[in-house]
Amino acid sequence: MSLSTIRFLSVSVACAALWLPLGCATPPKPPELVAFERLRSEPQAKHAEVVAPNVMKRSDRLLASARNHWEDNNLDEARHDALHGQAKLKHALALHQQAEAAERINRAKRGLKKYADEEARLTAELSALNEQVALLEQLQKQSHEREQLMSELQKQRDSASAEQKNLSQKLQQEKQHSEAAEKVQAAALALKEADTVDAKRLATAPYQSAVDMLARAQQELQSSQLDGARVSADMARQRAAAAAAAAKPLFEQEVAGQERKQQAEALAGEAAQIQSIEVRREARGQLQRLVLHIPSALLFKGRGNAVVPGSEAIVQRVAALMAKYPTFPVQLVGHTDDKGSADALLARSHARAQALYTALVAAGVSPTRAVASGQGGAEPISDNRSASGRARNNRVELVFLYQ
Amino acid sequence: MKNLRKKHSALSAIGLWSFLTVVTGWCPRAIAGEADDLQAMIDRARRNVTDLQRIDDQRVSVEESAILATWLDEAWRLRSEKQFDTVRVVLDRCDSQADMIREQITAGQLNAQALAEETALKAAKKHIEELTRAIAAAKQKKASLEAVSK
Repeated sequence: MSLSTIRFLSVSVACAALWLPLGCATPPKPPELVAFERLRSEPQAKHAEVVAPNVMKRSDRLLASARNHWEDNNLDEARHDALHGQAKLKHALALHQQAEAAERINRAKRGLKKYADEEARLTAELSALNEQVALLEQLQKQSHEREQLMSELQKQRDSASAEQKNLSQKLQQEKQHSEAAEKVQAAALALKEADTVDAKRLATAPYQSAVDMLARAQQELQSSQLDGARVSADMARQRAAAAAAAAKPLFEQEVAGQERKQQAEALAGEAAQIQSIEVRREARGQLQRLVLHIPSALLFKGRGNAVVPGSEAIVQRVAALMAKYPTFPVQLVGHTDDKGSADALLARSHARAQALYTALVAAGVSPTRAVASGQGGAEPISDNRSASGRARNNRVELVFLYQ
Repeated sequence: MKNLRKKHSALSAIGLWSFLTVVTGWCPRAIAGEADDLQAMIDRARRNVTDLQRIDDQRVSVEESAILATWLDEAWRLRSEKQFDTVRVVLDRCDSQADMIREQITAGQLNAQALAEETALKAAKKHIEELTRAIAAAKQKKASLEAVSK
């Protein structure tokens, strides 16, 4: 036996001596078994026992078998059982998860049902509240709109009131202005009326005062001093009226006098055209007299008192003259010379005037138009000592009176 | 009772004889048939895996399905090595794994449903809270409007 052989044998023996206890010892636990045991020790596995007891029992049997196989050093079998047991354990855990999920689903559904009821109740309550709020808002809006409307209306009322007041004031001013203007016009009219009666000349003082007051009133009217204008206009009108009143009679007298004068002129002219009649004018105070001097020889014969025939022409001309100028009062005055007693002369003169009166009435003159009287020989117009003088004194005078 | 036991013993003897006849006479044909059966079982299990992967919409058993596919590959390899007993052990484990995956998928779906229900519950709760707040606000508004109206 060589040394090397001895060495080989000794090493082999040593190795065998070392390997024998190792080969008889339990081998390392397969990782599948380790994982299986770890999974089995988790708390969910306890719950899974309640949910899936049969599956867990099968898993536990496989775990025990795997351990046995491992302890018997049968590692392939141990790995197989460990993996199989893990599948069973996971199966049980999945069932446990299903139970838990189902419980969660049921719980959630119960909660959903509860919330659905609650939601329906709350939705109804919210809907009712929203309706009430909407109604209140609408009411408030309407109230606000009403207030705005009232405010607007009040503004319009105030505006209208102010405008009305303004218009009223303007109207009042216009009215006052109009009244003042009317009064001024009335004063001017009164002044013109006064002018128609020539008050400027016939009532100078009141007329001038009225003119001054009218000018003042017009000036006050232009400067809108209406009260003063009214007062001044009233005073002007009153003074103009007073002037007119004062001037009117005078003016009328003047006008009438002029008219009478003109008529008297015309009368005198026409009377002068009658043959054998003298015409003369006399003034006795305010009274004017147009005297037509008709010689007695044209009307009477001798010392008679009756109107002789042939004198109708003169009577007719005189009657026509009296008819043409009807406004003149007429006096028939008989006159004689101084041959005879005064009474006889007076009676004759009166009779002759009366006879002419009668003849004129017969010719169409109104009986009230004239009066007849006699003066006898008291008012001679010529010398009675001569025959021609006495012939002139024997006369009947038609006296037309006027102012 | 004894007759019955005799009859059983006779039947057992016949059965044993028949079995031995089949095993000794038809052994190659039996081996081929078992391999086919195992192939069919493995194929069915693989289709089953595909179906499980298809219905796993929550993706809760991806790893377990992969492990199952690995085991089936192992079973296929063992079948090829004609370790039929081991193939049956592995296939038995695969069946358990498939059952477990199916339950996990169901659990995942239920979990998703629970999650959805709980989400809906939270939403409902939130809605209830919102309604409650809205009611409180409406009551406050109503009170203020009534106060203004008075």
